[in-house]
Amino acid sequence: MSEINSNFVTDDSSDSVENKRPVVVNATQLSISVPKAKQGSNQLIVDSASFEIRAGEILAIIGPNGAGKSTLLNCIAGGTEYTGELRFDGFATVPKLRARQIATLPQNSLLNFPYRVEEVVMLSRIPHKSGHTVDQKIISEALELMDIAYLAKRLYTDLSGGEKQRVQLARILAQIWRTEDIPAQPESQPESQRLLLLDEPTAALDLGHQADLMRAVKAFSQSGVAVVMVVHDINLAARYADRVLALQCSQVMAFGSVEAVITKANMEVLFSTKVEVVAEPISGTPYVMHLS
Amino acid sequence: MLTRTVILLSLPLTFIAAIAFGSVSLDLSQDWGSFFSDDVSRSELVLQQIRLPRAVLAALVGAMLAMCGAATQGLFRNPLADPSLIGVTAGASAGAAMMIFFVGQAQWLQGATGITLVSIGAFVGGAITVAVVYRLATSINGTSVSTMLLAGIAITAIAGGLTNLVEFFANSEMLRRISLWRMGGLEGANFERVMFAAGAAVIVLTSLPRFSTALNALLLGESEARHLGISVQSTKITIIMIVALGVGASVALAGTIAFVGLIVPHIVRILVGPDHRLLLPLSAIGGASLLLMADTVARTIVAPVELPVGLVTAFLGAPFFISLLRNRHRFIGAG
Repeated sequence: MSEINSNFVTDDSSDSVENKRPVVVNATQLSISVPKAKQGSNQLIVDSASFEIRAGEILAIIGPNGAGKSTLLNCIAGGTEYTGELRFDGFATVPKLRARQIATLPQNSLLNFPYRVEEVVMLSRIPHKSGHTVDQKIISEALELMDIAYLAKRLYTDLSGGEKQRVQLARILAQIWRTEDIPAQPESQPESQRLLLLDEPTAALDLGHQADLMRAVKAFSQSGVAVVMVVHDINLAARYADRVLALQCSQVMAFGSVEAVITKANMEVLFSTKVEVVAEPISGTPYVMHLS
Repeated sequence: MLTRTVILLSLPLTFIAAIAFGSVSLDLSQDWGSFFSDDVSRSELVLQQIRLPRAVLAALVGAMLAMCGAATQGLFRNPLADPSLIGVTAGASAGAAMMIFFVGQAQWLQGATGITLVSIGAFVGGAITVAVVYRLATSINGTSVSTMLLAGIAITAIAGGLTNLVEFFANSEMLRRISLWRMGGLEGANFERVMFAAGAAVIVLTSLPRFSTALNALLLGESEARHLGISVQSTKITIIMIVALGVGASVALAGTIAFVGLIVPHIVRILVGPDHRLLLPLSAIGGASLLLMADTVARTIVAPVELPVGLVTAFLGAPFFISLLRNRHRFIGAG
């Protein structure tokens, strides 16, 4: 009894601010399976996951390779069938309107046509009807934010991997750039929200641009955008995320605040290796060191 | 801006050239004068009955083929996806041959009904082919060039086999019709055919540009397009149907004309970029000009004998295709 009670109190005190933030996505017993290539049976990729995503929060999904992180993100983006419940609050149902609220960065880009960089970023405004002048302004701001304004006229196909990644990021951010573009919800419905889904956004980025990106993502979340990102870099997740969802073998191993999830015990089980968790000197967030 | 003007101007220029040059030399300044008078001269007959319908047919077929090529390439996210290379043209030919075979007994296979039926056959054959090639070549990781071209080879072989089989079982009358149609080309141009081509062209040329934005988004990838609010599945199906109609109609009217759908969109893309809002209409204009030019060459180069126009486009297109293959690292990523 006392244990339950104390747990309740701790949760309440540490999460009191966060809990006032509206839940925008609520997953209950969410399972995703895909048909196996040969046997004709189904393989469970995500098994009964329950978690919530809140407005103004960054949720980091971590876990070893093949744990189902990207599949889960893809499911939230609407790309996979699932069982269980996945409730969205504050989003339009019409695809064109919903696209003004939810932007998704996939793991790798297939674009191999010689668009100019600014044209690629301009594709983000397809769902919008904000007019060419506004769009142009948003595009140049997004290019500036991702530090690729100087690449605007270059061909996308000529860029390096990291530059391409920044172009795609600018495109994703420009898609949900302004609050005034999101469709109004009917009176009785919850407030309109924005959701940013990022799969490995820092892969292929150098250290400086990783920091730039995370600052930009943080700024978006502070303006009320709910952010979900799949990351391999645990320390990046620890430093910038508000909550962490750890996936292991298709199942949720831990879900909660950074301090609650990124612990020595959890990390050693999750990645089957010896680690030490220390406090990061500047932010004081957990810092995972690999011990060989 | 300049490049757009050049492309736009190419159409009237090649059209005038197609009217002006031919195995019979005409004095144009005189003929335009007599065009509206009652004086029926020989050159007027040549113009009105032969060259004008033929030029219009060439322009319409070229425009349809090039725009369908541009749309197919966008759909497959691959600049090598030309309807004739991936087997659509062969599939359409097989469909048309089978239609001739199965309704061949009927004597009314002449005129407008005949052309309509053959076109329906070509359309069905073409639609099945695009759908099959798309299924085979496209996975979650995009379209593989090699799978796409190999599927095209396989389908071309099957379609060729079907056509041969039909010819094997056909009686001599049907055989004559099939081979007449197979030689096709634009020389059969008459008012009926032009009207039929115009009907198909109106549908193809007005409906494909509606998908410009969707095609632009599709270049990013299918899931990316979906994330931008595009209904990917219905877009794909509709584009496949329109392309099958365009290619089917051109095959039914003019036989196999290869490479127009490959060369023209490629050149236009180099000039104005891959934005389909410009690419589709300018490809149509470029395709019309190219086929007019090729047909003028076909009619005049060994006059009075005419070469099939498909031969000329093949001689132009094949070296171009080879150069694309050699430089493909520049414009296609993996695959």
